[in-house]
Amino acid sequence: MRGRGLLSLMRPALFRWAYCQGAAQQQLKKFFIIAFLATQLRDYPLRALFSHYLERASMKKKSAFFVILLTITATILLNTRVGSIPPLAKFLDPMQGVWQNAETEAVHLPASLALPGLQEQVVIHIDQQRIPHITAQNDLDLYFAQGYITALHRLWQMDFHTYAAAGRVAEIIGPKAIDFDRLQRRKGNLYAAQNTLLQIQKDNRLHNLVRAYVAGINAYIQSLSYKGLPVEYKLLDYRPEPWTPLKVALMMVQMIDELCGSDESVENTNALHQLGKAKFDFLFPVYLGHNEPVIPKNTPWNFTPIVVQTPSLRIPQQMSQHRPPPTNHANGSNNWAVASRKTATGTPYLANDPHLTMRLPSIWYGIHLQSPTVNVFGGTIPGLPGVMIGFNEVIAWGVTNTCRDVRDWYVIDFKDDTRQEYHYDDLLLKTQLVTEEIKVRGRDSVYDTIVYTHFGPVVYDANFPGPQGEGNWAMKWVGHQPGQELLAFYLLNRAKSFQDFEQALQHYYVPSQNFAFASVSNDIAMKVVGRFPAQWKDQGRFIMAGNTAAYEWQGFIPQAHNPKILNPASGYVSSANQRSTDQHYPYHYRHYKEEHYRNRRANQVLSKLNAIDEKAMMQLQNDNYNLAAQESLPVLLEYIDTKQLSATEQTAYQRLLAWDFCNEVDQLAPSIFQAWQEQLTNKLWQSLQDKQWPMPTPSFYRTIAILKHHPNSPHLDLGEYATVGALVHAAFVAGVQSLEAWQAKHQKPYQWGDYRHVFINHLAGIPSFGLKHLQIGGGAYILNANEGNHGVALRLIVKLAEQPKGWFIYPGGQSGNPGSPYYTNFIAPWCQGKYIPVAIKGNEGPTEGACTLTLQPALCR
Amino acid sequence: MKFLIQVALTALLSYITAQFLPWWSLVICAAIAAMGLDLSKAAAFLGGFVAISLLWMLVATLIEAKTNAILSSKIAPLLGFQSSISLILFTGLLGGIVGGLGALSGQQIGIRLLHKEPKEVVRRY
Repeated sequence: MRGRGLLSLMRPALFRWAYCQGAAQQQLKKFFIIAFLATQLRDYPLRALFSHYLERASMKKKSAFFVILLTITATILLNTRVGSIPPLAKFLDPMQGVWQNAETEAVHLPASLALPGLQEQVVIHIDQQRIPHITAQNDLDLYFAQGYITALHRLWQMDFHTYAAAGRVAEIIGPKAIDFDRLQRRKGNLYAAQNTLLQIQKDNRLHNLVRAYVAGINAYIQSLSYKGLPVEYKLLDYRPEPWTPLKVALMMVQMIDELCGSDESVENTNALHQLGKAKFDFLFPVYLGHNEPVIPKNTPWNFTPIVVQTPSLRIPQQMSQHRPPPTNHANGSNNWAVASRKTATGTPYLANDPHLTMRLPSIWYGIHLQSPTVNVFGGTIPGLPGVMIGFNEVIAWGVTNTCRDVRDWYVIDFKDDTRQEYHYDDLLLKTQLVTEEIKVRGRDSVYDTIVYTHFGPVVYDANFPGPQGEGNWAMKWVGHQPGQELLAFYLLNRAKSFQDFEQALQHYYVPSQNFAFASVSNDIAMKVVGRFPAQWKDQGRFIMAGNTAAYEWQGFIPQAHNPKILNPASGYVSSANQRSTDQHYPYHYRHYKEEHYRNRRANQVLSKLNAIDEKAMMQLQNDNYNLAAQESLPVLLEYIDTKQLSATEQTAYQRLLAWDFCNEVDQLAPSIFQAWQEQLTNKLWQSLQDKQWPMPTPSFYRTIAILKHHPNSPHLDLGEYATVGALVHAAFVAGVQSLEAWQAKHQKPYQWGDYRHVFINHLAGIPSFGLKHLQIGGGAYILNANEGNHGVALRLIVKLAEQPKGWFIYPGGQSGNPGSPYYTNFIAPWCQGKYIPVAIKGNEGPTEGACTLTLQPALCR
Repeated sequence: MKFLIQVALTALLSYITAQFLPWWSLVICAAIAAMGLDLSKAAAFLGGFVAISLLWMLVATLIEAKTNAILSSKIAPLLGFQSSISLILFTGLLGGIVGGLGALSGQQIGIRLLHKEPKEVVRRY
């Protein structure tokens, strides 16, 4: 009975918890079964065990036995996770349970720790923001210490990421994650990680530094008792497993998948078949020409491209409901560098802000690494050694995603149902069947057989995601064959010149990035880095036939042919996920999504800016100017029939007219524009959404271009509206109505900061560990690109002076512990556009709130 | 007096063992503390309950005050509680139940199992 009361007390919350959805009934059942069995103990097992004794024992002794058994049962029950209820007494014990994870601002670290695996003493100065400044006597100790301190702050996060990459989440949270895990494995993530590991092992230096990093993580894990475990382990009731170099490789694959594991081949194929070629080309043109490419237009290409044969195109007549999870179009990044002649200080500047799905704990972690060979500060990704975005004493670099399509799909023509062979021109090729065991918490393992072809794994087939699977689609992905990216970062951290920078990046294949560069010697550069297939026009844009060699990738673009620019006459370089080049570049390529506005806005400002200082760079990173609104409103407002407007609509209309196109939190106009934009997109492209097979929607840029230049196109399906004008007007009215409804529901004005909800979820979706209702400006298509849970995941600005200085911030905090004041302390300054200054040279003596941790080699091994 | 001794002894022992043994060591502590004292069933349970309940709530409250409820305010809603105060009370209730059961078991072991029951004496003449 006690169990029933307790459970009913907890039920409402458990329903809300992401991992408990739908499973609460089952958990209750389980709980009661255990409780029922416990009561049965009194009769059956007890009698079986002690029958001889009990027959002779008095009633009083029997009752004593019962009390003891009840105590043991209650203890075991409260020490056991039931469904997603953590083992309650273990969890809530104030001496060792979750209460112990609450932290104050003071640091609770010993001054000195002896750790086996270190060769010499390492000093870690942890500053008042909890940023570690590590000074080691050699590189292996440096990466050991990085592993140790990163685990200290972020162990659960990095460990969870590797479980997710490997498709092992069901091991932690149970059957709900089985489909997620199957997809992760079917995409060949483990295959990619094993290839990454082979690349690591090929280079001794790289292998050793990865092993040192792993040893550092393990030194921390080994020091943990239940009391010290991160709160998520206690809540989900599991323990960290020892780290291995494979887990580092999995972390790398997680990043590769996030940044270049996207394409729209399925949607494009559906669209082409459903709409016909003319309409498809009208709605989805590849090259629009208005954007300013990453490498400026008319840059000469001084190489002879490799020859690519174009086969006659034949697109398989296959359509599908199943498609890889869609990419979020709000994801993106900005970076730029300016040469000294454009700056007030006479020193170059570099700025970078990668935009990602924001999560808590943050994907980024600030760190300063120092050894005799390196002195680098920047953002690292917990689980990977080195610094990924940052600066050393001489250079700075930053990245944006190229968003190039490096993943294609082939339809496999199996000989028979055994799927052991498939047709390939006149040949029969053999497949490799790999059976994966997916361990499921509280249940038997699930087994999934993945068919590997020479293209790659068959991701979608009759077994996945459902029995109605249409085709056998094999995935061909650059991410399956990575380079030595971690070696590239190792060398980049130590680069002293543009030549070093280029040499380091020779090892870098995936995920392809636009690397901005600036150096103290006043070189600035932009380089598209990665491994790209040399393709014919439209290759991989649609599903391809896999039963012939005709549609194979014919080779890769040689690295030397990747576009780059060094010290352009304009005095600046910039990138924002737009096309890499103009159409004169002698290779065909596509972006799985193309950016239309941020690139032009950044260049507009950068071209005009002179006497630049860090303030100007900060202002540009926090720029809320809505170029999309400025360009499209004249077109859209033209269609409004002002005589037809009601009083509220008239007010909204006037607000748009008076708007300065800045998406500031306290403004109403951005919300009006946004609501209008959404209604317009819905109404204009409803006919595409209504079709049976899912299709892409034209970009907002293309939508406006069509309204402006082709309002009478036969390709437009206006539905109930007679003219485009009527549709645009109706969209405006509907937009204003939706704002009124929003206002009535929320009981406050639809100010941009409230209307466009910016929030950050916890990595495992634990609701109270995330943050909601953040007041920050910007939005999609805006440099300050915050929209929903996507946004500016890190901001870094570097001044490349004699003593380089940096300013950085990210939405989160150095600690991954929700019970620490340093879990979210960067979020308020991040919203306000403020930064934390950092220096890597000169003596920054211990400051207030700081502490120093000395790691000593342990004597006993 | 016995009650106070039981409460103090239970709390002290379990606080010490909690530093190096898992949480359930408190069950053994509560049992040991109740074993030697000649207690009734109800008194034993109550003593164990009060000891652990108070100890857990005291430690939780100290952490609460020191850290400004930074974590308990996030944990409470996950377990269905409105405030961290109710989480402290719930923590005390849980600890109390286990502590009480432990003490009751100790009392039972003490008087029923360790002490020989007086046997019926049959005299033969």
